[in-house]
Amino acid sequence: MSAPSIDELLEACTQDCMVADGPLAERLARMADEIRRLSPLAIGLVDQLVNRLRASDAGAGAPALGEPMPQFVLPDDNGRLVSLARLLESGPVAVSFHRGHWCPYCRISASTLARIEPEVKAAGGQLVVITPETQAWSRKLKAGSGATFPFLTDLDNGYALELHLAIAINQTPTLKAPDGSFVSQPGNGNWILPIPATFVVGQDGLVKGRFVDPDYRKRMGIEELLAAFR
Amino acid sequence: MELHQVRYFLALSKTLNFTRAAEECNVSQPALSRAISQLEGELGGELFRRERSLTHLTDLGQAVLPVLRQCFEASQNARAMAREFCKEGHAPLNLALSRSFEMKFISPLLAELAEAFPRIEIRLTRGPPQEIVEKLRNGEAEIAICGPLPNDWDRLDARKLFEEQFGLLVANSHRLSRQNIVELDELKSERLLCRPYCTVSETLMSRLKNAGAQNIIRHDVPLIEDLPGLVQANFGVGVWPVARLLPGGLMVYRIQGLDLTRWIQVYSVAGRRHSAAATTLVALLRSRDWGSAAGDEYTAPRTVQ
Repeated sequence: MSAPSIDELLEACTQDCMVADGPLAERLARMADEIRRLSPLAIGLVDQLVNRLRASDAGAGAPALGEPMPQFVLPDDNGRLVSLARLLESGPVAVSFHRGHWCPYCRISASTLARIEPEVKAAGGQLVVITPETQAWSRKLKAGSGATFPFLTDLDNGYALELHLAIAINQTPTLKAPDGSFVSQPGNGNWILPIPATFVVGQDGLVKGRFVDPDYRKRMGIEELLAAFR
Repeated sequence: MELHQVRYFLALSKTLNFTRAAEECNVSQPALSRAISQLEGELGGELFRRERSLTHLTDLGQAVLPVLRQCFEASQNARAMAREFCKEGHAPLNLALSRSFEMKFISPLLAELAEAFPRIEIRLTRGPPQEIVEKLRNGEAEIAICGPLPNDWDRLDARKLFEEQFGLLVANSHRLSRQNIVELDELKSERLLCRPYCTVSETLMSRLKNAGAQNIIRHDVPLIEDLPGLVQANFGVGVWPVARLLPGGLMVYRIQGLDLTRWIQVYSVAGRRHSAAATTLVALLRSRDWGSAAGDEYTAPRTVQ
């Protein structure tokens, strides 16, 4: 049997990190280490991008703690329109931006959110994931995660831009593989991506939990997220 | 990227003049310049080459212009949708469809739209491509869902939805129905029932001509609903969307080596202000998983009784 390809190794690591125990940050770091080991060139470009985004304060303008969360009405993975205002009528909501089904960090994050879904519900809260991907792909991310909460489509990152969370990627050819980060995005076809931020919005419409980091390998910690619901 | 940075970038790319772009955006020129510089910092390169009287877009500026414009429009659309959702105001929506476009593809979306806009009133029209363009042009239709329209008007904004597969429609009693596959050559002696302006019929006709068929007999049948009856009577053969329900006594064949398809697209007029209902319908159409709508199952001959 031939040695596994880089893609196969990355897929195996992604799946491990999706199901493994331990804090989310640890599993995301393990994924990043594996990508760094297998593809030092690609990760160099990613580091460069992240440093530039940090230096220019990307995402800093996103709603702050205590500020109102802008309203949205977005189609979910079943083609139903989901409105933030409606969701808030039944309880606080965690709104978590993800980049897409192709992103290993997003797959790990989504499956972790799916795991804590019962706890969030028990606390009277709700979860939604927002990606720029159309249903065919957001369904894939959702199915892989085991989630039952809605995955919403933010076409062309319009809502993300409203929140100052859209970033433009313009080195696509070099960053394409094997990081796996920048493969094509069907239904979108451009290179704008959301910073994968998470907000917990209270029933008063104000932000009571917030995590924004232009380093897309980092996501809101689960303890922090659950604490915002309490 | 900050929303206002993108707005300033778009204004400057249009005016190519810092003073005028600042006026248009209602900010001071230093504020606009600063925002552009910040955006350049985030994107990692200059977007404009600043020359005394000749500011112009760099290669990077050119490259990001279409995606930033699209993203900015999307953010305006997202705001309008959130603002107008479930408002009680009257919401008329004029929608034009290809004559052969099947309502089942969009009926669930229209039902969803009616929940979002309780007082929506939809006016549907159907017509051939040129008529649809005319309706979009003069505002009689705000949105069109149809096959490819003639592209002689550059303000048409087209978004692909799904690729619809077509096959050859023959009667069960037809000589071809005794075969497993149909070759193009076997159609040279057939009478073809063509829908005028149907790009798929035209493709079939031109392929037959290229294959050396000289005197093809062609009948024009404008309404797709009229095809089954005529084909059942062995008046001729036609083309039929593979995913469309078939009346009894008919079969749909794949023609060997010939892909008969058309892209179903959603059209609107660029630069025109759209109603929130129209924007929402486009969002529902574009985000939808069209999967089986295309008719993937078309390689095998198929009968539906």
